[in-house]
Amino acid sequence: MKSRGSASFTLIELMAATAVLSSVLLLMVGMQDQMSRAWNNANRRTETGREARAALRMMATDLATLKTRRPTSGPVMHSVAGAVTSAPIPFYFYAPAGRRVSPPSLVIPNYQTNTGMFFGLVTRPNGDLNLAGYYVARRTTTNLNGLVQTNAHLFRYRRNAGETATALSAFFNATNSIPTLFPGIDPNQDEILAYNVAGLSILAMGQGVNSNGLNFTLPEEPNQGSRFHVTLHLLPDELAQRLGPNDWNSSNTLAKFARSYEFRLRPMARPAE
Amino acid sequence: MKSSPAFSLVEVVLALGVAAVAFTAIMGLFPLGLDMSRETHEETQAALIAQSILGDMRDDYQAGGTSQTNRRILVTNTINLANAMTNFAVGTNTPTNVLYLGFTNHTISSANTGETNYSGALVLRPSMSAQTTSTNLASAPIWFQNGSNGLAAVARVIATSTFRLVDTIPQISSLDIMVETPGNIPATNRTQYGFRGGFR
Repeated sequence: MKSRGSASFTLIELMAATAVLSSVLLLMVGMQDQMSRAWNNANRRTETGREARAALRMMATDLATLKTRRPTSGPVMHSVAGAVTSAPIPFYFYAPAGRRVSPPSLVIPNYQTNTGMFFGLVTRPNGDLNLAGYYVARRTTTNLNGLVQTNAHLFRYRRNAGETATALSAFFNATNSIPTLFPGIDPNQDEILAYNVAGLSILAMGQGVNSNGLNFTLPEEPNQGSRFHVTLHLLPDELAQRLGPNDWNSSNTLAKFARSYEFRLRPMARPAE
Repeated sequence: MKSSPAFSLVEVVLALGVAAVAFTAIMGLFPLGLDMSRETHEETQAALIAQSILGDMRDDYQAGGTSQTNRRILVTNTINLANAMTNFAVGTNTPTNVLYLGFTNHTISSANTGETNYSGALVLRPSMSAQTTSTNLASAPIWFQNGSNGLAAVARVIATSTFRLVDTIPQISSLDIMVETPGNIPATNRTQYGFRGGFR
């Protein structure tokens, strides 16, 4: 038998060592928790950043090739509002309050209140005209486990040259109304450009005009200002699943969780003189 | 003394030391991952900043509407085309013009016309600008050289005039946009994202 004070630990020593170890471990678990929070946060940022980059690039390409028509008579500057049904301006946009051009006369199923929308004609490299549009609406999906979810997304509406020709013909010859020009908008069918979108704001900025976005000048007219200012507000997926329909646009949601991306661009460049 | 089957204190301390080194190494990886994620985010923002600058530059509206030697760029926290445009010379007299922009994170206020519905959202917008005709860093504004508190990013835009085929005056400009982050540290320590575009 060994004498006391030999190489083995006493119970007290072991307890002391365990206490020290546990406090160190506790500290590290706490750090781990913080790290994981930071990690999640960074992940959300990357995720929304990726979504935004893809969506905004697509929009930039479309809007940059936006085809607009100068009216054959009348003032060079013309208003998008009101005139949109009578003047040959085949594009339509709606901005949230303050720059509201007109109440949305375009009926979009499950349209997300207070988000912007834009519809227009774009040219394709082969000379064809396509109809394109962007809007935020809600789509309800059921996953494999039967979980039903209704989330708002950014949709891209597109009609190819054949359908565009039909729509244009209907617009100019018959009804002359915007819904005729952009038929069949359907959030259950249209392509999703970005998931979980809290808001889309498209502001048309015309020459010397800042209060309401009217008098947006078409880019084919020289030396006139015309830019689009596009802001996209995205929400992280895990949060979006918990949001009620009215929470998506709330100031609180935007301030705490949304990631916003914006850019400005000029529609199609003026043709060479 | 005969060796006992139990660990000695020295052995335990050594073992703990080894474990601590390993833990430290693992913990060291977390900031690395976060850093990369931040970099991705900044690259996205930089691309959007460059796109906005190019969009502003391509819009050839300026006061009077006849000369195309000035472009107007929006330097403001609110989107207000009429009141807050900064003229940027891209013209014929000076072959090279340099524009410096400072970007801040700005919370959209409910008072912002046109953005009422998005109050609370955080957006990155240019808040300060300066122009020179020299590309030397020494002639850049101090806030660009040394960084300034509150700036999230800065950008340097160099417009170079060149000839145009359909006119006698040189007017086409190539645009070099360098977006640098973060904006609160000296130029030499920033990450740079370069973009290039042209307009006429």
